[in-house]
Amino acid sequence: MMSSVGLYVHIPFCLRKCSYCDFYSVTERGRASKYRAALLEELAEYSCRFDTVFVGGGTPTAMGEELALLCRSLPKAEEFTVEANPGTLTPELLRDLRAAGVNRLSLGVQSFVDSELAALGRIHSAAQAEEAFFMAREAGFDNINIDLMLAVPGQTAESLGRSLARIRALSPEHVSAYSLIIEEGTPFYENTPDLPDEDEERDLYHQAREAFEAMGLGQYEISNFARSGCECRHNLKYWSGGEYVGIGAAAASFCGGERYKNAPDLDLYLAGGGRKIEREAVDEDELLREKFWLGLRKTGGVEYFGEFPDEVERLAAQGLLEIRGNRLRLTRRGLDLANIVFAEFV
Amino acid sequence: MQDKIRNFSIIAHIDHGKSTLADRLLELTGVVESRDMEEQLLDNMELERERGITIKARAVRMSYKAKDGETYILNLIDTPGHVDFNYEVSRSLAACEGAVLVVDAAQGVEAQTLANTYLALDHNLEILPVINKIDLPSARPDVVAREIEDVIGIPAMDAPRISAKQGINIEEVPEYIVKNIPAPTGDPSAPPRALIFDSYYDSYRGVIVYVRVMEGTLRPGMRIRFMATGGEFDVVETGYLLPNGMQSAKELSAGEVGYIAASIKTVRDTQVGDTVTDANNPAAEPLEGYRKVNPMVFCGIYPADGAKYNDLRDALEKLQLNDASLSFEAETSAALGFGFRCGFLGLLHLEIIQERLEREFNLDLVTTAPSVVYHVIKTSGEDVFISNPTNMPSPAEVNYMEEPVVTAHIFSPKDYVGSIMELCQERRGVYKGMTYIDADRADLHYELPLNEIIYDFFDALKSRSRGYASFDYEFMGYVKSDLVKLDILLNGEMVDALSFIVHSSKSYARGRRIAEKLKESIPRQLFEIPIQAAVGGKIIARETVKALRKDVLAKCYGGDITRKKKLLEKQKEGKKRMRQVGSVELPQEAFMAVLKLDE
Repeated sequence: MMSSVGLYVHIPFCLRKCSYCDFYSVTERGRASKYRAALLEELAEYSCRFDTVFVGGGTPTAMGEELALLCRSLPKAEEFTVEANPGTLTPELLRDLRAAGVNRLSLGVQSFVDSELAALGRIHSAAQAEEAFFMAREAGFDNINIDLMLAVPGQTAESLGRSLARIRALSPEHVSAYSLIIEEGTPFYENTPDLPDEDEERDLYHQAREAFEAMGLGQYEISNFARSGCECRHNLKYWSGGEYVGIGAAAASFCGGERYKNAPDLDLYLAGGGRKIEREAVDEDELLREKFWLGLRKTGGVEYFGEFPDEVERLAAQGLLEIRGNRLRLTRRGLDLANIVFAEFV
Repeated sequence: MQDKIRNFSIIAHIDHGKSTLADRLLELTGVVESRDMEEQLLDNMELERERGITIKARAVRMSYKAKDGETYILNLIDTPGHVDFNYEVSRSLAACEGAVLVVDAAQGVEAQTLANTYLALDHNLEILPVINKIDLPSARPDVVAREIEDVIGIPAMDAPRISAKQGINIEEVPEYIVKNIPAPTGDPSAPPRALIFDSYYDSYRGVIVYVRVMEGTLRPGMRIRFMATGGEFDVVETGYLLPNGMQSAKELSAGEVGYIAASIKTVRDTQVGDTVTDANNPAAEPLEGYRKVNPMVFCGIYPADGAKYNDLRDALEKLQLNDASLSFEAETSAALGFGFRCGFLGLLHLEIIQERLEREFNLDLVTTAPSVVYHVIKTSGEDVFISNPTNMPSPAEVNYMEEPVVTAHIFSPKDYVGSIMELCQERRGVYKGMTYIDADRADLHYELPLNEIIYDFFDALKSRSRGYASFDYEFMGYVKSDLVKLDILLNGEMVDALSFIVHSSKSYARGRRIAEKLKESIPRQLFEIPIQAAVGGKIIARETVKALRKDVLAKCYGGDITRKKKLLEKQKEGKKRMRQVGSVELPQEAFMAVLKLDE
């Protein structure tokens, strides 16, 4: 398909685990330097050209200057994103990242309401998030994403409105708006707070979408909004059957017709183990299915040549899918009920 | 020889220690080494052990050297411990001369203690009380002994005081049995009469019939006749039931307990309570007390996956090989497709069969709400019994209806009597009287419609008495009653499998509650689903399941596609477990929603 490959780098360090998060991370940073070395060693196994790099976590910026050193050693790419926690940024680190070739910053803001941030167990305040955004602009980042979380404990239309107003004022190039999902193994799973119900959650989502569209951030995926031309190329690969290599503990890859992961185990990873486990070959049928259940996440949908006629006809009759020319895509209602559609294709 | 035989049962209220005592006796008589013993040897069905109850009757022959220097044959005939199986209990008791009555030293006499004692007295058994669990800190053996004397009216001051669990004073029990239970009588040379008290299917030898020979002698080669069913077979083998298996013997004569194998193909030929005789030298009269057991509770059982219909039929047939009281016939439901209407002795029996089908045969089932059998007298004069609410004639065709009623005894500490009477009243019970067993406990006597107690009466009773009340009942007869059929409509379409019959005074409350329960159990779908309850075409309750608004993974899982896929596959699996009923998808639990009204 695409000749160029995406590189994902997982940084499993955090200052503190957030109450909702089930991504792999540890709250010690003493081994950042060793980890950097191990990542580069793993990267050396690949000889492909990378046109996008995405450094995610965990909290990449929890590594401090080690992160800048790492980025300097990573391949130069047309799109080079680093995830950042607003509570861990300094002008120096931002400058060094920019100098290392990072050209896109993804700020994990989640909310601009302090009580919501506290409920989520975030380490930063709304004011710190704004400050981090200005620092990033100051350091030369002209492509910034803000992560916003919907349906968080205590969120109302009014409080979301406040977060949206702050986003409008900051005018980022990109927003990812995710819904809080209670995952097993998180503090929220053990001790679930009062959450907006399904109807309220959809109202919040629709409210956010309208606001983003009014700011000129068009929806291009279920949870993603961007100014035209600022869509995240790396993430688009996940939904478009593109190849990507994930390095680091717990990173997932799709490369050479195969999906595989590294074990979520820092010790094992540092010892050179737990690599490329859960290998799964993806055959043509699987690839075709993925084209639909992943590709339809994009609002533009997928090219359609009459595959799965029964499923498509039924879902279209239910008002969840629509065919426009040779494209098949989710309707607005389909975007709310996408799992019903996807489940037909897996 | 006869004078060295003792045939006895052990009767007790649930959890008073019947099975543990049986284990200790087996140990004591040396037939089973204690280290080889699995707990509760007689209860060897997995389910029985889990639930701590005995479902099938069983027998075991022990050899005991008494203090008088003589060796005695002790035949223990175990009885099922639940009211569903009362008839089986009565047949097992009829095979004995005596019964050991186990009473918990802490709890004293309970409803089943009394019910079982009365059953035993009906069969003129010698009753030997044994006070168990004397090791408990709350044991009060003197009080309980007096209670047995006062309430039951049998001497109990000399009753062995034991702890079957701790093995205390167990040796007193067999001595007590030998001394006090009469030896069997009966002429070994008379035309044979043997009582069937159980049977089971063995894939090599056919049905193995457990009998107590009352008169005459049975031996291999004899042509036998079952006097009630009329079947005739040639005896291949006779023998004794030892704890570790069967041991063949050249004959079974009057007074003895054992088995017969006669290449019998189905347990239906060997009805419990029937009399075995010599076809060439038949007895003039069968033994008394035989009756055909009729199922009391019916429900529809359907395979969750319609393609498993044949598997379900095979499984039911297999279970029926060993359980003559299970009945089933094919039926179809517009909502559930092809399945079976199954008849059971009671709700416990139903649950056991359902669990065995699921566990032993790995079937996924949809079960409709249990129903009792109603008697409908039509305006045409014709009368019918209906076990499936769907078959109820239209109200215009019905002259009147009758429902089964039981007479029940509830034992309870007096503090809970008020709330139990309230419960019985809610369940349309007719108060018949109350007596005090002792200063603290009462025996409440009620007549209750069976359809009010088959679902959750026992649970309600337990929760209103903090677990202290006990309950026993027997079928009384059919009583005229004002009954209506309650239908459920989903999205405007009637779902036959959800219909049931209810007393008209309760139809509104029931309809409302079921609509609410269904609303909780039906997941939101693409469109709004009205749930309506109707009696005779008139809507009496309505709820709405709102249309689904959200079903999307709006979360970033990075490149971990396999994880996303697993979530979707799980969703797809869940959808497969739903039943498409008209335009609505119903989870299997919805069909049982009518049962869980008190939750």
